[in-house]
Amino acid sequence: MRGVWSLDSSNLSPKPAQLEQVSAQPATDTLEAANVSCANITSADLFWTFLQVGLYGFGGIAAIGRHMIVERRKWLNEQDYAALLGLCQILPGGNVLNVAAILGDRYCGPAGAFWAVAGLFAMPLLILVAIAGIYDQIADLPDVQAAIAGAAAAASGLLIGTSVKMMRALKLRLLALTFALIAFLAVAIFRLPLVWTLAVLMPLCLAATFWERRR
Amino acid sequence: MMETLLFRFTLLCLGLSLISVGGAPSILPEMHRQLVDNWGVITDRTFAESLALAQAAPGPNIMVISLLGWRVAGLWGLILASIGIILPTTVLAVGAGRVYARLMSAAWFPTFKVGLPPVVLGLLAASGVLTATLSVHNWFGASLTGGAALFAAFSRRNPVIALLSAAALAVLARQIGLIDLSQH
Repeated sequence: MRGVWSLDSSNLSPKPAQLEQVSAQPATDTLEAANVSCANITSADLFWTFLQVGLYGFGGIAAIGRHMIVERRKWLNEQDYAALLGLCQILPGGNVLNVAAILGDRYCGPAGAFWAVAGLFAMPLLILVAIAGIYDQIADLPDVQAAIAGAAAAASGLLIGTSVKMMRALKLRLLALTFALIAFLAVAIFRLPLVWTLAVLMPLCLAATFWERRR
Repeated sequence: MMETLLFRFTLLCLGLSLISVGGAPSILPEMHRQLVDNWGVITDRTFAESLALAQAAPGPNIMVISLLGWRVAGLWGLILASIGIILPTTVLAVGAGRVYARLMSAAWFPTFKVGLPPVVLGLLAASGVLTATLSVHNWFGASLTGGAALFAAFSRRNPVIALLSAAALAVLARQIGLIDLSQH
């Protein structure tokens, strides 16, 4: 059961040192192999990384989540992260929250999932409670309102820009770009419900990808 | 009375968690219907303020449910709402992640992996446009959105730089009398 994760982590373009260690383990020695991947990425790493995702994730955590996991920690490459995000989108719950749970479990089992999710929520909850207490006093200050409005405008831009960056990095083909465009138009312009858009487009996109590859 | 409310509210969170595809936005209408219209435990205004407050704080958007829990039943409301909304999806995600990891060795997995992202990337951009229509009301806000989009698309640096710069520019623009984003 556990061997799956170690096998999996060698699939995730890990740091060179990690790759060597994992491949040095016999594939049948599942417990040892699991310990190796856990020794490289600890629950503390997970907690600390997702703590920063939560702390810096103003106006949504998709942009900072990708930055920490792909650019900073290099836990996943762009393709693996994008695919995992795709899986997390069709599951209920916030996308990055699901990413935290899955990566936490992948590297350190259920305890890792717990620490990753706890890290994600620790600071934002404290901050939320703290500002809820003083919100009534500061919310009416024009400078505070201006700062929040400015950051909110930028947060929207970060979502759009992160999407563009990932599309560029993945070198999406025409077919894939078409599906991205249809999904965008359906939700942003035609305001169709997210669930229906996903239920229709996700199977179609997967089917079209298999069809394109087969030819 | 309070215990019953807390119990019902926790059950509501646990249930809505399992249909929260895409996070908080998909379940807020039902939350509003129950808390404001059916149970009458918080006012329309408190509900709207909680949304604004959660938007202003960093972190996952699902945290708005924790804040509503606090408004409904204090500290225990916050704790139980958080657990209720996070636990079911987290357990489900871990299970799905394990199945996903098992599929990685399948011959068709590389193609599957290529087919997953396009729709999500379209939706990611769409959520940016949707939130922009709520928060951007003039050319200055629009240029902050555009600047941040370019930053995220072409720079490898931490996105928080764009957020802090935009907040500082907005304060500066107000101070020098150029444009005031706090008014619209």
